[in-house]
Amino acid sequence: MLSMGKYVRVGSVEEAYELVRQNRRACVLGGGAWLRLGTGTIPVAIDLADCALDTVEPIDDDPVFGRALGIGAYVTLRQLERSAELAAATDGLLARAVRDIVGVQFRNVATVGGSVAGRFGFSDVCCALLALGAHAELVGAGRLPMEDLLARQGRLRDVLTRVIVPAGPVRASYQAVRNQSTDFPVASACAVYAQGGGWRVAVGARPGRARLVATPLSAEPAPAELEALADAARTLPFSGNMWASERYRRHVAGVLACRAVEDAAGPVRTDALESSAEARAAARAERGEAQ
Amino acid sequence: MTESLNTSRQQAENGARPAAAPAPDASPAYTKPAATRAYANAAWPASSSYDLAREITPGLAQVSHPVVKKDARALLAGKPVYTDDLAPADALVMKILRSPHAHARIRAIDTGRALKVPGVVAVYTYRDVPRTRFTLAGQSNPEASPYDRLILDEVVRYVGDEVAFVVAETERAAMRALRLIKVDYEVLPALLDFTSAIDNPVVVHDEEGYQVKAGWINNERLRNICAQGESSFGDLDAAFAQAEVVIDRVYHTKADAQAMMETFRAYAYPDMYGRITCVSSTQVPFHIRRQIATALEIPPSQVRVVKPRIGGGFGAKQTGCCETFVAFAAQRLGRPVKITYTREETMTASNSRHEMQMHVRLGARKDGTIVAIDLHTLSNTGAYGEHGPTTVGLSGHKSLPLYSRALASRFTFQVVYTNTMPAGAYRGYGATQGLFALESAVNELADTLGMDPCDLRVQNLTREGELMPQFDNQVLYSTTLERCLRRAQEMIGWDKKPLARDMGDKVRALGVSLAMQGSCILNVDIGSVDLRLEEGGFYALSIGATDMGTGCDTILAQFAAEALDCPVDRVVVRGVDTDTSPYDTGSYASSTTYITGAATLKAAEQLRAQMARMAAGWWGVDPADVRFDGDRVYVPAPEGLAGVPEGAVGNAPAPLREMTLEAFANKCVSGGKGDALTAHAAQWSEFSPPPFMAGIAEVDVDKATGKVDVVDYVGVVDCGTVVNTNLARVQAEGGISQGIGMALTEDVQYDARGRMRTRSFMSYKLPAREDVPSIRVDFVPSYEKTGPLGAKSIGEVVINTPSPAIASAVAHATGHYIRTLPLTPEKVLFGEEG
Amino acid sequence: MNVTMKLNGVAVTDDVAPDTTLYAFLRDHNCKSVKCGCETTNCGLCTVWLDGAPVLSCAVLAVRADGRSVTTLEGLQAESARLAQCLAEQGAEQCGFCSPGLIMNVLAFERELAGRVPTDGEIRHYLAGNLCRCTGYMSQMRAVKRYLGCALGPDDWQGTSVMADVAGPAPVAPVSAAASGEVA
Repeated sequence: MLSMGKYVRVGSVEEAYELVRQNRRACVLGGGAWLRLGTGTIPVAIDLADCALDTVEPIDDDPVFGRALGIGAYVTLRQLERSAELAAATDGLLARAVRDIVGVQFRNVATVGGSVAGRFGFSDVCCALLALGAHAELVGAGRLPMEDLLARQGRLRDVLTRVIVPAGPVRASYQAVRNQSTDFPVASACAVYAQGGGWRVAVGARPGRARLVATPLSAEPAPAELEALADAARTLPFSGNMWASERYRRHVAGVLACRAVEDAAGPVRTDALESSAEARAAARAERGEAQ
Repeated sequence: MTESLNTSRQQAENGARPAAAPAPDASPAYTKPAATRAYANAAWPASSSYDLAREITPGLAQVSHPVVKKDARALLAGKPVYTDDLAPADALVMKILRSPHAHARIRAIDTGRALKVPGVVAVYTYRDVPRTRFTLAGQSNPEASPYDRLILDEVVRYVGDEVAFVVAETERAAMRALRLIKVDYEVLPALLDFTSAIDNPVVVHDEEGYQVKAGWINNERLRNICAQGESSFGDLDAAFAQAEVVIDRVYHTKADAQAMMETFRAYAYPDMYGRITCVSSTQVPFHIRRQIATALEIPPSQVRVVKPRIGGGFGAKQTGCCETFVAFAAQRLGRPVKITYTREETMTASNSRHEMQMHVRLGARKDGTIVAIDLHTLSNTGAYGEHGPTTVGLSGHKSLPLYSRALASRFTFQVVYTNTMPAGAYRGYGATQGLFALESAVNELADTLGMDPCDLRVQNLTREGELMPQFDNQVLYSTTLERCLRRAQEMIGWDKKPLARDMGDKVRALGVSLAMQGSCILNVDIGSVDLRLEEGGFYALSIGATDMGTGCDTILAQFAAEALDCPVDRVVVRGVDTDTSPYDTGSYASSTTYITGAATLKAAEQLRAQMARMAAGWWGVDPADVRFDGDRVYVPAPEGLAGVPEGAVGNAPAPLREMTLEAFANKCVSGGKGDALTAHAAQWSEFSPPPFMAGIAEVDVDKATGKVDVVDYVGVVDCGTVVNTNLARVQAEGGISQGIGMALTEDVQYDARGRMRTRSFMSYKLPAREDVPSIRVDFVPSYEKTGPLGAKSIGEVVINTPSPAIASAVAHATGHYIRTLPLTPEKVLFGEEG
Repeated sequence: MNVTMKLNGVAVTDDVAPDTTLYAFLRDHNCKSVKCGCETTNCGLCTVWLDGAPVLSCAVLAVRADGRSVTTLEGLQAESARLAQCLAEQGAEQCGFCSPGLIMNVLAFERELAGRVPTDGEIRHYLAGNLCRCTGYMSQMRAVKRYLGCALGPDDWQGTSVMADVAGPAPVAPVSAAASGEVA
């Protein structure tokens, strides 16, 4: 059951940061979707609802990416899913990455900030943002690439305000295996190819946090390169939990990493739920490959 | 007879089914055998119950039609008609402290600090409650389940077992107080593995006051055996000696959660007479009344139980849960007390399906004839014995009878206690588990022999008129199971598809299963109704059967309307209040249509007879001359009695006497004399006619990840006459969906200390919409002569086919036979041994 | 904390603890159609609209609805009547516990579609967060398709067009059932 001590609706993110630094157990609220899952009392709950963090804004002069999109921490997963600008910038990746998360009503509540600051291993959002090469902005730590944010140990005693995504164009694919259609993934992989930037391949749900797989890949990878990719993915640390064993995760991570790259390299996206094996087969046929 | 010969000749002339094309490069181990032509050449059996159905049911006006549920409007408008909506605003709230240990004795329990929390009214421990043991099983008296429960016990027997109750003005205060109760436990060794329960040094129930009312369960509790038994037919060894192939396998099903959307909840209050009224989301109000009386050590006359709209049950609510708790507190405090279980409590501290391990030995000749079946079931009843002795029997008695032509069969069983969450009733009630084992074994037999699994079954099925030795030696009066199976094959396109087909990334495969169940517990279940003709000319049907969303209120009104020649909306249905409703054992065992439906028909016929007598009295005629067409009571002209069709208009002579139903009903209660005509009827049965089902699954298996997608599922049902064609379809679709969950997504897991890990819908996954994209259902009605207007039942049989059918499809796709549910992607990919 | 929201078109103000969920707030303010089936945001039973968008009321703090408009099924009785009819004709409400949340989500879907007819896959996807244990989803799909103007297949069960219950408003239980000694 949810129990709070103090609830504070701050006027600025700096104010929130001060509260976080003062109190070890202060908690910045995201969408609040999973607040009830906690036990014990949250002594100080900080609400950023008045800080105007709920929009997706174009950035024309980003110091790192040039053209980029800034996603406010309070942008919901559903907003992410429906944003035309993000669809254009990410080849529709973010929409496809979040579409299987629980349901529309959940995604109207859960926020990007909650997902990113939460840094859960099963997070489809973190895996996709990592592959996109996104950066997170925090009040205290400043601007961090996703891989650095995900690598940080311990609690994030900071305030996430924005996620910055390069404006593309890219080719991208998200692959996941779930025991049930709206369940957490037991294995996930995301591949993004940016013209001139090459491939970024991320593997998540290990069940640990998403990690990049470092393997050389050409723009249209050959089978041998894909095999090497699968092997590289399988060298990441994996372990088992209620949802799946280490052995299964390790094996399937390799499979999904290759599928993500193949998909992203091809003309037809087959990672959306509506597509099926037939679509993948059709895509192969188009490429003139054997079934 | 002629018709059936023509049919088979027609089939022969149309050509036998084409042999299936061989699968191109099928997946690892499996190759599909050529389809046999056995069935096309055989004479089509003259199925008299099938012909009877086609003769009789077209003439029915209300039964066998789609009818909207009577509570549809209220439910769809979101009206407050469920237990928690009705609880008094000033009811005290109860919360429960639960054991963190699988087995422990409470050495000391300190409630001092908890009592000091503002708003807390009382805290109860085992020292405060009566000492008479009872059972929570919703069963007829004397219950088969042992009396092994106390409201609160000094010994806790599973993680989640109740330790103390806090009653407070608000939920917040109750939660605070819970955290302040100090318990000193003597932790005892726990028995967690049911396969090592028998004669284990850890004894789950060694307490005083433990009672067994039913000697036939062969309880040996000090050996952790709750029940055991055997039923044999024929000479098993001699039969196996004739077998050229023996399938010898062990199957394992888990303690799946019913997971109805409305969790357990109840409230109780002392009424103006000092009696305890309990309003509960329960399937068994009359049994709950007995439970509360026994547990509180008060006469049953001091207890009243009321059932409002229920948000689903599926058997979970056939076992008592929190009723005795709130009744106890309400009695002590003299105030209303309510409790609403969380989903976590519902998952971890109530009741579930019985986990079962089944050893099947199936002996057959090389031509596919099954000659011998030997089934041993080990069932895990958990920490308490509810429904333990009774569910296990169905694992054999509602599976083996499918193949009653075997020369011999033996079914042996043991039910054991463990320190895990108690099991109870869940749709299928043991048949689901037994059918998973038996139908999987039959599928493995077909694969081993290289035979089509559908043809193999048709070859061995029990036929109409044959005896079923493993089902109380009943004769099978009605079945269209063979037709159901052929229809299912037709719907899925069985003849056009190989059992497994390589599609690139995936393999698409087929698997089949049959199922049966019963309709009521013969010689045990009772259903009765009161039917009254009301002023104004409508009927009030008072029932004790409990609609848990299935629509039985509507179904029973359909029976009444059929017999009374009126539209369904002229019959008003009320239930259930133990003070005023007629007795009914409750909605379980697939008995409501078959038993209470029959009682309804009887009552309606009685009411018609009463109406005729009443009118005859007014008109001075013989009751045999009085007619009732549903809208008017009349005496036809003498010519009408002789030859003119009754009720004929136009040239027919006017009736001698005539009254509208409304006028008749009004006259019954006017003029200072008379009475509203009331009929009462009860039904029980010495038969329990099995409904049947054939299910075929078409699945896609991802070769690299093992993920199984159900592409299509076809189910064809023989439930006798289909009473409400809307609702029967929804029952079938819902049952299949639950079965898909059991097969693929629902995985109960415990940790090493006996604590359930799957404590929520986040980790225990029900099928969602995208997990069941296509379910198609059809019916081939038989006509069951012992059933009301030919009806049998449908409530449970519908969950029994998916697990064996999907497991077989996966085996065809991968060569892996998975014998422990669920079929996770991991098991599918690596196999169970791998 | 003081919270003011427009609840089904009517301004409602109340003093709530900040950890009060919108779900609890709504049920306390007589919106009993809102149900709870889990504690982990998985079931969808508690779906209501927040400024017209479907949300899980168990996952929204009541204080976050301050100054905003909230809609429950109580406020959509007329608007939901035709959908209710479609569901009833298929027998697609069984126990009814998931029905209010489902209806809220279907009507939200309809608004988003703005007249467009969706595919089966789109319907399934939008409603993925609404669990049902009774029906197996098929009858609900047929009903929703009919409601949204999608063509049912020739093999699809057509349901019934006969509303068999008695005309008139459904009975509402008295607030204090104990006091009256009678339960609906």
